[in-house]
Amino acid sequence: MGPDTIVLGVVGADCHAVGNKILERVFSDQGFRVVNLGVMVSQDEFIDAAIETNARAILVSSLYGQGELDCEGLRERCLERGLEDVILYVGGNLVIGKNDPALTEQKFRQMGYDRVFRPDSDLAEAARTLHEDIRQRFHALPVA
Amino acid sequence: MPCVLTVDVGSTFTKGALLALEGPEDEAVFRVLSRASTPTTVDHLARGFQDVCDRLKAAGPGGEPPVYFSSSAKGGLAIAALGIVPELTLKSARLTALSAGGRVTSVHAYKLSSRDVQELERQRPDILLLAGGTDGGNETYVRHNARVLTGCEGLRERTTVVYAGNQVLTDEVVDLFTQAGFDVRSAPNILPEMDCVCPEGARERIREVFLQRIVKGKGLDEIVARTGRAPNPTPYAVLQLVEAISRQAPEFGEFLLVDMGGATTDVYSCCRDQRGAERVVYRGLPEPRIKRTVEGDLGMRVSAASAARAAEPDLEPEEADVLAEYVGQLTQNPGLLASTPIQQECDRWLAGACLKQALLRHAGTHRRVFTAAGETFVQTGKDLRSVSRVIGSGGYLSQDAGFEPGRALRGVAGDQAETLPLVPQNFDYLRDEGYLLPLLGNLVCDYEEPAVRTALSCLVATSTTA
Repeated sequence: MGPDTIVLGVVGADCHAVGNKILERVFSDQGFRVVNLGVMVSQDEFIDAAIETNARAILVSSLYGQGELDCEGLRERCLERGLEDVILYVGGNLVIGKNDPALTEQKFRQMGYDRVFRPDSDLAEAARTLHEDIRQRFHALPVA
Repeated sequence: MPCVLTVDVGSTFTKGALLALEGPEDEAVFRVLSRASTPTTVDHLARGFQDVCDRLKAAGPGGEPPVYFSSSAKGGLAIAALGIVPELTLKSARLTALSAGGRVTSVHAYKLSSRDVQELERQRPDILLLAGGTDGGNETYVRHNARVLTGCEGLRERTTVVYAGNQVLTDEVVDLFTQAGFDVRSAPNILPEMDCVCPEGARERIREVFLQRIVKGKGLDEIVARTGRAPNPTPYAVLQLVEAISRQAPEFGEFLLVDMGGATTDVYSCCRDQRGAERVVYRGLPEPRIKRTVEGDLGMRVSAASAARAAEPDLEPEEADVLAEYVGQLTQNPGLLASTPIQQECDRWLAGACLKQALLRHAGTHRRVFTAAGETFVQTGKDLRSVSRVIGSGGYLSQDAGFEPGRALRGVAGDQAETLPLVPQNFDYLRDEGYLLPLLGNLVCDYEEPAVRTALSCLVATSTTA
């Protein structure tokens, strides 16, 4: 069994490309096969790529403050299109203004995201968490 | 003076030319000694073929020149394309089938339904190109589809399966089909990774199947036995020529070839899709440098009714009425040749609509988006704006010196709409006056350089701007 595949991209009309490149680098170094869709990615493009590559997780970035609108409904869309088990992470500057980070996290978890990351998150730590989440969801199950 | 015979067995006409190779070796070109054509003898393709060959040979200097040929008779090379996501593996499968010179009979995404299966059994394609999943990627859909297909009695005898999906499943899929009594071949994945469309391996396998099985099935084997040579599917011959031009004559630049027939309009583009422009975000799979598309609803005769519908928005109401009447006549008699000035004008309207629509579908678009960082363009599909030459071929485009493609494309790219089509803007229009290009395509395998020289020298220029 090869490395786990993950799909990465910046959602919506967001053009912030630098952080996206850094994520690709770090997650590749941490042993993932990274499919990086770049910037301005639509929800369906994330799902298309995840279906074809059998990705375990979709990592959604949003940096321009309109993350809430762009991220809403992705979980439902995944279910609708047959990705029942995929892990969803979201991170970046998810909402504009000084909001309580705990409230933001709660809001995105209610939308169906498994984990929510702030702009100052440690990426190596996030990668370790992802390995563990994938192990629990996909590899801990008895083989059918 | 060495001579060659080149023949195309088309769906309605079998046409050929006797050519003489002339001049010193490094500038040799073909000269047309004679032409002949006859209605294709669908019940026995070899008969019409032999008739054309005999007439050509009678006009020549004697001897037995080598014979090269292509065929699109009896439905051409019929391929059904299967993939998972429409924009990813299915799109790649469709592109691969077209690049092999195929005619795509149907396309199927995700899991095959019973309706899909009915459609496949009705169409009975020559080849079923089964793709899905990147390497190491999705296995669910391909496994499901392979199991469903192995139960299709109707396909077993006639259809060869070419598997070009996730390589992890190759052995499993080949075993499944073999056990069910199918002819199955495996090829490298057409989408091994998300950013990498690789049609070459599957295209090679399709060609192999065409030569081994389909040639015989269509009754072309008798011709193979007589000539000692294997045929090309006609669009494959044209693609060979397009590739040869780009190899042998890079100074010719980026170009398009439009082959407009009675039933379909084929577009071949030879240009690199330059990526990396500022303020442009690229969506979707990378585009191949040489690309073929076919429009089955755009043509001058059999498809005239749908072409006329496409023409209508650009015509005055009274012009549209005249065209409708003409199309009525064409429906009665698809062999009609325009003889009056009004009929010729109608042909121009039809050709203009076919050209415009076929280019709009071949070309990509820029969609204007306003983001926090300012105005940005989202590009999907292939950018053809760098194309500097457009070649017109096919029965109508070859013979009408008065057709102006610039007129047909006027206004297409200029308005301030949200979506900008990436069609060629300033180009020279060149006419394949002798309708010789498909016949030259047959010769690329053995006479690449003279075939390219001849092709370029037989083009007639009319300058145009869109």
